[in-house]
Amino acid sequence: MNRILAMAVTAGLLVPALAGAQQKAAIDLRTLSQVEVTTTNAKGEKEMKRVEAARANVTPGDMVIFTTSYSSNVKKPAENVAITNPVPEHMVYVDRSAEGAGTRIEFSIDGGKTYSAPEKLIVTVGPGKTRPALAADYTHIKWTLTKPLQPGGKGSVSFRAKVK
Amino acid sequence: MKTLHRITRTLSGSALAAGLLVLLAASASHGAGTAANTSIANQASASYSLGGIPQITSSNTTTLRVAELISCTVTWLDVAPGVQAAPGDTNRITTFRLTNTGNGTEAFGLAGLSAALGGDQFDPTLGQLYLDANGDGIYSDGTDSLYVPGTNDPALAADGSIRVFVMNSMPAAGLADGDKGNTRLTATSRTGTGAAGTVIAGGGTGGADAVIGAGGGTANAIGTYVISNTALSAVKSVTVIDQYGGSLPIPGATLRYVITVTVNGTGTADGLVFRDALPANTTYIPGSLRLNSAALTDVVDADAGDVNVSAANTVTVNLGSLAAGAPAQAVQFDVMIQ
Repeated sequence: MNRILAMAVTAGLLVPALAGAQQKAAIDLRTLSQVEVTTTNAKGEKEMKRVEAARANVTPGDMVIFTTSYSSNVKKPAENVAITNPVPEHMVYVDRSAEGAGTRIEFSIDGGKTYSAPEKLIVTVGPGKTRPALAADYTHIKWTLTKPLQPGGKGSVSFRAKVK
Repeated sequence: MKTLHRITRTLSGSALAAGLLVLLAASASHGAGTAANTSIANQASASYSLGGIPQITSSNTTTLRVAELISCTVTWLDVAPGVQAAPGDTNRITTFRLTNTGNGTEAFGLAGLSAALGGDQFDPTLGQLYLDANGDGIYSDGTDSLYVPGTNDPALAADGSIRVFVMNSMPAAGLADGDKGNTRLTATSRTGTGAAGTVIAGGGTGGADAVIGAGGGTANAIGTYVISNTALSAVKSVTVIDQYGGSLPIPGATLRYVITVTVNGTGTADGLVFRDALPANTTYIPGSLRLNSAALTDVVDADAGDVNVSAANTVTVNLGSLAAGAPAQAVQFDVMIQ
C-alpha cells in the first residue's frame, strides 16, 4: 500500500521535472498568432490593434500574423540557427510577408524537404511543363540566421497567412 | 400534306435561363472557404548546433478556431425583363435562388414582398412561397414544399443553395401591355443579423462564435412580372402547281405555302421567331423564301430568314417586335413533291 502511494508521488514529481527540463533548451522559442483589428478610439480616430487570434473571430479570408521570438539561454554561441514554420493547414501564405532581421528567408514547396529562394522554386504542372511557384504553393518557411546567436541574443521572425 | 407550323416566342427564353443557371452554380461553388469550427494550429521549430552538437527545439503551439461567417445571397433566376403574365393571372411563379455563402450550416428565414416596391407600374398580390424540394428548378404542385416561416426554414450547408418559388397574382384590370410589377424575396439568417463584424458568441457551427458578414446576415433580390396581352395567330395556305400547268399534287409538282402571322390583343410581342418544318417527302426549292413578297436568301445573313440553317429542315424567319394590330406578316416558300 505504502509503496504504491510512494510510486504515485514519484510519478507526480517527474512531470514538472521533465517540463522544467524542456524549458531549459538552449534556445527558447515562443510563437504568437495575432490578427489586426481596427478600432475607433475615444477621439474617433481609427487605430490598428493586434489581438490574439484565439480570442478573435477569424473567418475565411482573414489574415493572421504569426510571430516567433527566439532567445539564447546558454553561455555558448549557437551556430547554424534555422527556424522553420509550416504554413498552417487551411491557410495560404501571404506573398512577401515573411520578415526576420539578420536572417535569410527561404521557402519549401515540398512539405519541408527542400528550401530555396522564391525565384528558384519551380512547380511541375505536367509532363515537361513547369511554372514559377506562387505564394499559395509554399508549404514551409525557413529563416536562417546569418550569424551565430550569441549568449543572451534574441530576435523574432514573422509571416502572414490567410484563412482559406 | 400534314405539316406543323410553330411560332416560338423567344421571350420565354428557356434555353437562356438554363445557361444562366449553370453560370450561377459555377460561381457559387468556391465561396465558403474553411469550415466553421475548424481548428488551426501553429508551431515553429528551430535547429542549431551548440559546440558542434545538433539540437532541435520546438515552440509552443497556438490554436485558433475558425468562426462561422454568416453570409448569403439571393438571386432572381428568371430572364429579364420578366415573367410574362396576363391581367388576372393567379399564382404566377417566379424563381429565386438562395445560396449560403458562409462557411457553416445555416438556417434562413424567407419573406416575400410585392407591395410598394417602386420601380414598377403595378403591385402583384403576393401568394405563397414554395421550396424546390426535389431540386429540379421547376415548381411541381404537391411535390415542392409550401414554406412556413419558422417551421421549414431551409438549412443550407456552406455553399449550399435552394431555389424558392414565389407566387403572385396579377390585378385583373387597369394594366397596360408592358407594365411591370415587382416582387422581392428576402432571406435572413436565423442565427442573427446586424452590422458586418457583429459577433454572436457561441452562435456558430459547433458552438464556435458567429460573425455577421458584409451583407449583414440578410440578402434580397427583386423579380419582375411583365404584362403581356398579346395573342398570336398564324394561318397557313397551300397552292399546288404541277409541271403540266395544272394543280395536281403529283411528284414534281410545286407546293407553295403562305403563312400569315397576326398579333391580336393590346400589346407588343417581342422577339417573334417564325419556324416551320419542311413537309416530309418534299424538297425545298432554293431561293423561294419570301417575307411580305420580298425575297430572302436561304443562308443566315442580314435578312430575316434562312432555310435549314438556324434549325434543321426548317424555315426560320425572325419577325422581331410586332405590335397588336400591325399589318399581317406573310411568309412564303415553295417545296417540290418528291
